[in-house]
Amino acid sequence: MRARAVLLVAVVLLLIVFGWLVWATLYRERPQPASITSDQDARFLYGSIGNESDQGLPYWVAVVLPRVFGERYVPGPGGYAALLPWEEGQELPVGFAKKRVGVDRVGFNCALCHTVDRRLPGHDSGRVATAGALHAADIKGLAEFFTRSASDARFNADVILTEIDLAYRLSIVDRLLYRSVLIPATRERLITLGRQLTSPHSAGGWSRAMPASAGR
Amino acid sequence: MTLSVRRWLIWIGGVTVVLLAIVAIYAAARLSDDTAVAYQDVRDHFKYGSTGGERGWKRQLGFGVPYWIWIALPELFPDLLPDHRRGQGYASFGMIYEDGKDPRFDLPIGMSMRRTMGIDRVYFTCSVCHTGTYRDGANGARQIVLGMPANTFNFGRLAQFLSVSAKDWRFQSSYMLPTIAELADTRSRAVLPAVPYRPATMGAIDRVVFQYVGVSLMRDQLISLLGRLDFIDFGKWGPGRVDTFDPPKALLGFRMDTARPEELNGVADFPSVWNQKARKGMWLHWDGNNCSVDERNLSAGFGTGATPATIDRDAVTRIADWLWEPAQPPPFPSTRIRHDRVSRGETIYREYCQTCHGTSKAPFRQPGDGTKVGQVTPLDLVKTDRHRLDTYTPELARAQGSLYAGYPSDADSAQCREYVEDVCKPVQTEADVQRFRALRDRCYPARFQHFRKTSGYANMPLDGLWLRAPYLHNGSVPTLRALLDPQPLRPAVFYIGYDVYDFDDVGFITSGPDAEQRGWRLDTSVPGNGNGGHEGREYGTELTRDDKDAVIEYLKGF
Repeated sequence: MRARAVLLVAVVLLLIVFGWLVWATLYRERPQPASITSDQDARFLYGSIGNESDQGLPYWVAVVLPRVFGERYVPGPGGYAALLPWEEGQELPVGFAKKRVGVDRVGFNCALCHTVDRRLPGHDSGRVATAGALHAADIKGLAEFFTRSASDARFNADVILTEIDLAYRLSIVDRLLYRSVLIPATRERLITLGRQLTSPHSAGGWSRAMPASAGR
Repeated sequence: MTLSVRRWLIWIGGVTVVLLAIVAIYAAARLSDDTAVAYQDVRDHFKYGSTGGERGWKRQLGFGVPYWIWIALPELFPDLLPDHRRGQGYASFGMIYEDGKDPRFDLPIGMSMRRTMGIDRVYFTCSVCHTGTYRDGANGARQIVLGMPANTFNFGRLAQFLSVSAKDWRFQSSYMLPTIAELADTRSRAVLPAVPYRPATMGAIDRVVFQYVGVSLMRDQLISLLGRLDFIDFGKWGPGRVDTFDPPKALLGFRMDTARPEELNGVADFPSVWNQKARKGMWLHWDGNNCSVDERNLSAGFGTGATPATIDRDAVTRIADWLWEPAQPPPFPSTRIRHDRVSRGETIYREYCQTCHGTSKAPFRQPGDGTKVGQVTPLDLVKTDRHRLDTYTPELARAQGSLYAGYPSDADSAQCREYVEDVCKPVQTEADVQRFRALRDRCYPARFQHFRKTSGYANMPLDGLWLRAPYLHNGSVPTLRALLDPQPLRPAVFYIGYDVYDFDDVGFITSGPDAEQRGWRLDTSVPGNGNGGHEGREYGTELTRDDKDAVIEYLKGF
């Protein structure tokens, strides 16, 4: 009788610990840094709209994806920079919002499409203008890049982790998570993203936060 | 009967378990091995110290070439060497072996060694591109100068050698291992200088590892690394020059088959690396694309194989700290200066040159003196060859912002934001240095945040100018005297990589039978090698012969 009670307590405790671990590694949110949230422009360009975990990519997959597949599925040299406005010195292109939800993730926000790159080709550093009506980004190219990368035979944990190992020392837990959960799930996600990017404001399309009619 | 069978089984089982444990312990010890050859003297550390490029991380095996393979390659493929001669190591690529070293078994300056995964492995370190030599006559003694551009080293030719030998049918263990065994045997009988560490002869286990895995793995690594760089024409580099910003495009996975031709031809002269303290806050690299000495170091470190995951932070910081101030250029031989002309030269320098190039000694500029040293002069004004500028694309400047992503771990802390802001500020006082050191110790390495696309070339300080020939960013003008001539009078074809010095014209000897035989033919009509620009009245090319002489005498003292 007493042994059974001890066992029960142990199981409950284990479940709690396991549950906490799952929450901490996959769901615990950390706010974006003040340098993004407190500056209006930065917030538009890199601020989270809360879609990281259900419409975003694991951070390291987002970083290395063009390093693995850019050679084949981006039309010119430059990785994301060949497709999207990107401010010099920033770690990610405009419209990529980095936020920790369990692990670091990248969501996509309005600035991805609604930003003008005022840089003249081949000339000095330019500034991007926020909320422009013109689309400077090659969204169709990005959608294709995502879809084709996900469909490539080399899209697997071995190849992606090999590239991450050139860039960062993942912790043992993160490594395990990337291998068994995050990378496999990203394949499906990229295909969905590719579809959403081609018709962003339709039903089932871009942001849940936005009515289907937004942006016409 | 049954008892004895049982006893036997227990014995066999026990021995198996013990053997497995021994193998496991051996494998664990071997795989976790990571020891760089250490050097007491910081100058030796600069010459031979590892930046971490040999070692791997998880699925990355690292860039290190096993010592015995490195040693065996020139012996195995003498026909692929520039001079087809065995027994000279890599000397025919212009790599420098110090006096007393045996090129068959010792490493040249610029190669470092680290024991990782139980194998002694070698790879490039900073000095491979930043140590050169000069002689004061064909029979003069060779002077090795640390921090000077590697004027004799033909990096492109070495890359070609490695690329071709990796694809050669002889690159396989059945050819390689007997050569290695022979070399080991020769070494055991040779009289060699004392060095801090000399790799042991291959043991039985090593031989098995190399027989079945090591050699083919190395071949595979070389082919895939050099295959990624296939779009680069290594034959265009020549000694003392490198295409700096095309290799990072490969690292970042850029698609190069659709690149415009002007993106693929950025050959640049190796720079000197002295006096970095004074360069903090100046725009660095030939086109002035980054103001952070730290980022510039880490960026160059990729060339030594050091990735964010493998970099040996302490070893790199030790080199950086030496280049910060202790490393200084040697003075021009005083007896070769016509001292009576110097003061006239100084007057002219002040009028024509100082605004852009600063004063002769560090810190080269004073607050509020109006100098533009370390600033970028638009290409429209300086009009030098545009290829190096064009090869650095806006896309590359942006994509470099993702290098060293994730570092430092507390990037959002106020301190590390302060570091990022401080990293491009000039040093004024000793307190500035102390504060910056404290920030750096905590926040280095950090993600690249200062790369930018420019529209011209940076005005360099001129410390150690005499050893930085040939001149301009692409090494297209052999001497200072030629640089003071307008383009039509500058040599159209000359030979670089020969290290005998011309103390009158200030530069290396680039013509004559010896230079032609030892050097590499630089043709200024080849795209990327253009020798125009930096000319006209304000650049001093219209000065009288006498005044040019005077400026040259003054510049000797830099």
